[in-house]
Amino acid sequence: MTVKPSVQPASTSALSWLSYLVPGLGQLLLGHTLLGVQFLATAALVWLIAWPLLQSGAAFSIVLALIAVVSLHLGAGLTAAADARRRLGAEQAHAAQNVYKRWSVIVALAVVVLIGGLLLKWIVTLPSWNEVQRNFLFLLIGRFRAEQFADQLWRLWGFAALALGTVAAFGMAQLKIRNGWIPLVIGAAVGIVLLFPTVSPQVSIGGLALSLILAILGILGAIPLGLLFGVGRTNTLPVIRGISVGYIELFRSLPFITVIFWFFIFVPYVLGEGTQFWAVVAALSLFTGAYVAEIVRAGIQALPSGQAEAARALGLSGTQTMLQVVLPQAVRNMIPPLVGQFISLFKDTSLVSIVGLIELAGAGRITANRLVTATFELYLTVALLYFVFAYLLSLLARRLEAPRAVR
Amino acid sequence: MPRSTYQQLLAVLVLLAVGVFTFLRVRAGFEANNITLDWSIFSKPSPLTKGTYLTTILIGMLLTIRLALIGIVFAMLLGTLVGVSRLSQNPVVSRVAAAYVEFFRNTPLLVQIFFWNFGVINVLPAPIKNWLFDHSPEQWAVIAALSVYTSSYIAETIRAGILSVHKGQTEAAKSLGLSGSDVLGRIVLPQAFRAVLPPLGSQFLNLTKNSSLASQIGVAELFYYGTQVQSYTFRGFESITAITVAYLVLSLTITFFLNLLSRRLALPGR
Amino acid sequence: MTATNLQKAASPSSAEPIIKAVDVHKNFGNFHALRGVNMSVQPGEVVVIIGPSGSGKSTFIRTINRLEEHDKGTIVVDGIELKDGQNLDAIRREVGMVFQSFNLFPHLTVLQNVALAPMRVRKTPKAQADKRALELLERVGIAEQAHKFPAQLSGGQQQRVAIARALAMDPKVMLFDEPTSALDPEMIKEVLDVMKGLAGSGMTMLVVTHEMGFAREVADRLVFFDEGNIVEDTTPDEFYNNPQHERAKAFLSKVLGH
Ligand SMILES: Nc1ncnc2c1ncn2[C@@H]1O[C@H](COP(=O)(O)OP(=O)(O)OP(=O)(O)O)[C@@H](O)[C@H]1O
Ligand SMILES: [Mg+2]
Repeated sequence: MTVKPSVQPASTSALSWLSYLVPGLGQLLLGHTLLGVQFLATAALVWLIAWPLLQSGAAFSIVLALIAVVSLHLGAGLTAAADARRRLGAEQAHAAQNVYKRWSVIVALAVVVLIGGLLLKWIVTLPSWNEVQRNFLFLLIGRFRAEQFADQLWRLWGFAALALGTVAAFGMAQLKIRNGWIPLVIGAAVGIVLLFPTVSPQVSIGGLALSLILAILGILGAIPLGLLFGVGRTNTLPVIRGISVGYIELFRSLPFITVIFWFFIFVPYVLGEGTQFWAVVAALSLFTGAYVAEIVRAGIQALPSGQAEAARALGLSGTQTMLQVVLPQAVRNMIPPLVGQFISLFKDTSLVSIVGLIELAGAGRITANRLVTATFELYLTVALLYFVFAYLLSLLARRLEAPRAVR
Repeated sequence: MPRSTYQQLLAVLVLLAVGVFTFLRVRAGFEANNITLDWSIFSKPSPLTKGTYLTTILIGMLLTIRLALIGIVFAMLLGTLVGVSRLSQNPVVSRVAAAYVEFFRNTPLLVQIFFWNFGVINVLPAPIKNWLFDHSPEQWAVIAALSVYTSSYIAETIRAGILSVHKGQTEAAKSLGLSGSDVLGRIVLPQAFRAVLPPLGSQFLNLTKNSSLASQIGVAELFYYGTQVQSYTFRGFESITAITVAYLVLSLTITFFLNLLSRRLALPGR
Repeated sequence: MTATNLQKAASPSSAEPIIKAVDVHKNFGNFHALRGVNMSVQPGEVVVIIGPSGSGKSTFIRTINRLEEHDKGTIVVDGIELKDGQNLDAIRREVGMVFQSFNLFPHLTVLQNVALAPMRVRKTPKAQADKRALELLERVGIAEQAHKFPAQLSGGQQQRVAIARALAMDPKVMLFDEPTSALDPEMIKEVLDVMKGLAGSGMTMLVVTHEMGFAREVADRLVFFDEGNIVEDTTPDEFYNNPQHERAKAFLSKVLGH
């Protein structure tokens, strides 16, 4: 049997060792253009950073640079050599694949260590971290630490109650113990009772604590609104649906900053002076409520229509069907996106600093204006504080979502 | 009368009651503070821009659109890069991309704007800093913040779009002998594009709304001009109404075109 | 190339085989999916492949147009050895493939689906490609649907379009991976009829299917896969009436219910 001769440029295969010297060159000669370009680009980046480091004389930098350069050249050379052997047959191709997998990870890791290490070192050695440290408590609780509130500090245990309730509810859900809402409600109730006097009648608390309080109050207001108008949007009566659509589309079309201005300026006329804090909470609730309504609607519409039809066929009224059959099932689908919406709300609370509430972003702004020098360190800290909470919540949302993917 | 009519009437009545109550309270409040409404200010000449105050608002709308367009271009570039990296075979690359997405999604945009404007610019090397100070640094900070923030959402959209093209499509195309570039250009990308355009459109809408935060570091756009009109005329109610109507017009127009687009893109039979 | 271990796989009336697989292995991670498969197929032969789920049938026929790369062994298709650095597209032009899930391109019309590859790969002018596509659609009996989109067709119609699409490249070999198992019973026949016509026209075919009627009527050979290898290679009637291996017997009684 005749096997047509394959194109076998033996001369270029032998040149694969060139990649030890110039990463990517061997791959290019072998016809693996994409790999070659990737290695060349990585090499350019690494050498651009490593060259000045190698001459700097600082031990830390030299070690980082050496690690990156050595793994880059070794990786490029070894993969090029393996690629050159690929054409000899299936076994070599398989082995080459493994070499490539291993070394592409090592090279990428070296690049990340180089850049990440330098960045980290630079950030850690910034001059003004002590300023951030001095103001850190202000970022967390605002002026609440001051003398006049000293006898109130214990109220912060309210956060512990909230956290405990949430953790217990989540743990029970994971362990498939029923009635997980009980610890959640107890935790929330204790937390609110303890924390309420810190925002009423005057907002004495600030910083991250205030951001969290605003987010919690906001979602507590948004959920009933969302349920009301989300269910309303699925209603068959045109007027009820029309009102719901109007509310939802109005608030979803506007930037939050306009909503907060409306409320901040005009709620005091409706509710009287000194109600700015509650105006802000109302703005957060109404704004988020529109998004929650869409989550509710999606949750209801995701249910097979047979559910509602079966309930109606049994003689349940429209309201009974909604409350006893549809919503209890839809709620399960709604929880993960609701947590996501809560994260958005938590981020949105940063805007209330514009109308003078000193929550986390506001506290950061005030401190930055006062210090002038430490702005980078300060805003990085503020961003990280937001990040920690939002990220933890997003992990929670993903955990809640995961079992459904399996089903 | 059927029950449904009662229910609808009730809804209208509740809405009316809330409306009337609010209206009366606001009017009482206005009277107590000697506030009257005067819509004619919008036909008066504006010291902020050419023309009247109405022109100022319209210019603000244009600036907002401009900001959103610049932002979406950079956000698309960054987002595509990160989204594709997220799907990389190389676990280090995909994790770095994931970390990027998580960090920028989980911090408020306003803080990111402050971070770029007050933080990063402060620590840049002197020559870049000096150049920036002559070229409206706030503008650059806002563009950086808006595009990085939006790109973290776009990256997830792009990733989902690529994943949404079934593996069998590539296999079928390959087994017909189509070249790598044809498989990508004729089969995968047109389908990914269809899947990605509607969510990208809503990212553009979000970006347009989010650009209002640029006002907080003094970059001229719709919200900034709106509040400027207020401080020149002392007409809070009128200004905020103008801002609100302008954003409504922008959002609804964008939504309209997005719906048109997704109807255009829909394939018959599904 | 050593020919000794090929002898038993090659059929006796041997002209040159169009497909020749020798000691083909494939791993998915730690899972050994193909364990030294030997097979050769003569031009014009129709070979039906059966076997329990997970036995490696799909994996094997996918190595033949290199949708999967084998880890060990050699595969030669129409004189071209499948390995790295070869012109893959040249091989794929010779080998058409039909999938269980049709895999029609949803964003193209039926006609565009069929005409795309000839235009892009063979550089056939559009008018000519469309004309040929219509002929092929005629042959599979759905010319009147040419301007619809795939999602507007029934499963059986979609699969017939997929066959026409593969034929448009004038392949020398056609691979079918369970072409009827995603179809409703009443549509299976229309697809099988098209495949029978194709076999009658002298096409070389490798068909993974559990349609015993089709196998007995059309196939020259029947190959039984188990745990990544061929354990039986006979005629359909022989296999049906007198299976040699325990696994084959057990499988037959399950599939046929006797
Ligand atoms: N891409 C893959 N990654 C990991 N394992 C795979 C992959 N493709 C197939 N396998 C495994 O290889 C084995 C053989 O799969 P294959 O699809 O060839 O079986 P099959 O005989 O076609 O079965 P079926 O009748 O179910 O289609 C199976 O156990 C399958 O799980
Ligand atoms: Mg299979």
